[in-house]
Amino acid sequence: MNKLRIAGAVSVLLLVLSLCGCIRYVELSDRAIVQAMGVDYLPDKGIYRISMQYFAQSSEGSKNQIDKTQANVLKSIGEGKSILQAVNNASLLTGKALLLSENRIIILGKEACRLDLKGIMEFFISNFHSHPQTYFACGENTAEEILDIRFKEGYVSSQHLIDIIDNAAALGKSSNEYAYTTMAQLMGGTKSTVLPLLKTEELATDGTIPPGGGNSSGGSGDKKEQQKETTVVPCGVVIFSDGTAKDKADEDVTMGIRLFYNAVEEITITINTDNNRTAALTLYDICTEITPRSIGDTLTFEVNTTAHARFDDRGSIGEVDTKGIEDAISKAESEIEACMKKALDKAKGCRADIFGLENALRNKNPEYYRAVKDNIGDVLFSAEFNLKAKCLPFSLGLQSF
Amino acid sequence: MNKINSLQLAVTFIITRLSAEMLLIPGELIKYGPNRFYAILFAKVIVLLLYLPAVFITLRFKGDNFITATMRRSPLLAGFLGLLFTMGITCIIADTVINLQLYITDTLLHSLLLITGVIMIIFAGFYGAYKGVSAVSRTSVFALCFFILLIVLIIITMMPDMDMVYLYPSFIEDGEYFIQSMTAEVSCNSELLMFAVLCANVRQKPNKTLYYLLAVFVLLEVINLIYNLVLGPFLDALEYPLYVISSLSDIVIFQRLDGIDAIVWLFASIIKISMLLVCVKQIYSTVTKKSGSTMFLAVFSLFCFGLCMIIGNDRIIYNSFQKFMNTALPIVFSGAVIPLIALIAGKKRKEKKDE
Repeated sequence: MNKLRIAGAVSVLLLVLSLCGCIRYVELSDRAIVQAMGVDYLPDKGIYRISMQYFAQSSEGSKNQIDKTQANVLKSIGEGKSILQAVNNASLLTGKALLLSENRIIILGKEACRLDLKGIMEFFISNFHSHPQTYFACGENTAEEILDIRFKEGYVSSQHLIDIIDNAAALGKSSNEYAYTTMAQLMGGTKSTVLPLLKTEELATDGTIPPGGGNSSGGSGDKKEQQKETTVVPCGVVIFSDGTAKDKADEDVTMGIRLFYNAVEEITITINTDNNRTAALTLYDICTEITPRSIGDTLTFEVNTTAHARFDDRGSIGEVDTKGIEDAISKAESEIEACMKKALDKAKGCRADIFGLENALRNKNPEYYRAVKDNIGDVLFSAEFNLKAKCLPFSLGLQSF
Repeated sequence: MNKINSLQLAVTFIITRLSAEMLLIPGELIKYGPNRFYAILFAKVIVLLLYLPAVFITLRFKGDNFITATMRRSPLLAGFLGLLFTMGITCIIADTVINLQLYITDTLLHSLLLITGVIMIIFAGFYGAYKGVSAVSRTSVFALCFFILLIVLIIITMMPDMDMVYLYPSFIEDGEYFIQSMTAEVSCNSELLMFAVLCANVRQKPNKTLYYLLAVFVLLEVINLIYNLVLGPFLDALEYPLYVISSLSDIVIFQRLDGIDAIVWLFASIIKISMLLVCVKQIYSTVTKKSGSTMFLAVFSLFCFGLCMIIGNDRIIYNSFQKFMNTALPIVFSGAVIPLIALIAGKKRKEKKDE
């Protein structure tokens, strides 16, 4: 019986080992591990242009896969009448099978933003199994010019792009939504969302001493020479409505949008006090609650924002100057309200529900929502909004009053 | 006969039902909103009612399942009912194998050939059935532990991404979808068929096993809640929502839990297929009065393999088959109507004797 069992086990093992011949597979070293992808649309030719940054393996072994002294990134481009054709053509240059599951970011060029965003996102999520936590962003001009910049910071170039977006979003100057949250927003009645906007800019970097030091100029001091470097700068967001890009929002408006979202970690507000001095307030624990109220046919959204305010620089406000503190807090509250008002006006202009108003209405007033569901866009943008900001001042951990 | 206790059977049933959650309910029947919460609740009540004929058989003919009870009264009727019942089980096996194969190709191995996938799944199922009900039920305890671990990890890691604004109080909003979803929920309960046969293998009162419905109800509602809180309206566009959610989960060294998710589902489905094959083996043994039925099991597994190849190779046949399975007819007929016929036949026989 034991011999029979051993024979059975061996035959099963042989069968399992031979099964690998039944599966087509590609070795990891034969794959182009895509880290970032750009989608541009050329309207005059009616074609898509895909640019990709993919990971350049330094070696085949487990060690030294990433050589941090190198850019670690290669670029490939492809054109086609459809995104699929363009992606396939881009893969021809790599000479390898594409692996998109590790892709960190997909950037849409200016013209591609005018196409159906949901269609593009669905394509990447379903056809190429992009990770649902992939970032989507927009380029001010073409996506390709952004992917032409290969950062050396981070393990791979795209990591630095992600860091730039994340940091800007934390400060309220950009947005950083994952593909799946953006898709959830696009499934709403107004098909609205915002995506971070990136642009390339030539910035002066560190002053460096030229070769030979300052002696070559014959002067006594070291003469510094400025170097310029092209980098990527976040510059607000692009507002999408009905699935396509409608307008751009600058950093101020973006801040307002992010305040609606509860997505800002900290804001610093500078307030003029007496004698040409300024006080700096940092707002944190920022929380916005949207409550829809319907009286008859009138829908009103009560938008209440609360935050804790810390005086980082008191300016001319004294420690026990209650009136001065009250005035500063009041100014900060007005500034928040003004910022959110700007964002609201922009959203109304684009007819974009970028604040989750539909969700709030469905969540808190489902009966009213069901009644207006088919006409949700008109209802949301004809509604009234009461914006209120309330700041609670703290100083060095102690409540000022 | 291999004996197990009611708790082991309950655990096996939980795993069987959970495997169907991912594989058998089409993506379009898992929609965002409150409808599915009620569909799950009502489906469980319906399933409980469908269990009644099998439960009455266990109460009336102590220690017997429907086939043994019928066999004692009319071997011909037992053979006929056994054949009908086996047809129902065959449909469920084919449905599970093909959907599992599709799940593997859609998520993990995109280039896996149909024949390779089906061979591996059927072979694993056959091996489980060969080892018997006791071995399979013990394995299902491991699968359940894995599953609970997966759900706990998902809840922990996705907690910051859960948005309560996606929840809203409402009753059934879309009647048509509600009926479809509820029918699909009922069609996933192949445990009905297993219970009708395996109740004879339970040491204590087999009816205690039905408490599993409560556990499954809670688990399914929790999973549905996670779907809604994490994905919101995006849920409507997804085929395998739990797979997507697990791919979003990162916990320390576990970057993306979709691998664990796929293993759990593979594990659970193989347990289900094994249990269904065990049922067929048991029916064959009872009807033919033969104790050794390994050869029959091998032949039946080969038949299932052929059937899966025919259905899986043609998209039109597959779609029609899937539509038929989602009507819950095979489950209702084999799981409730056949035991009911056996119960009525037994009663009439007794009345004749009394006369």
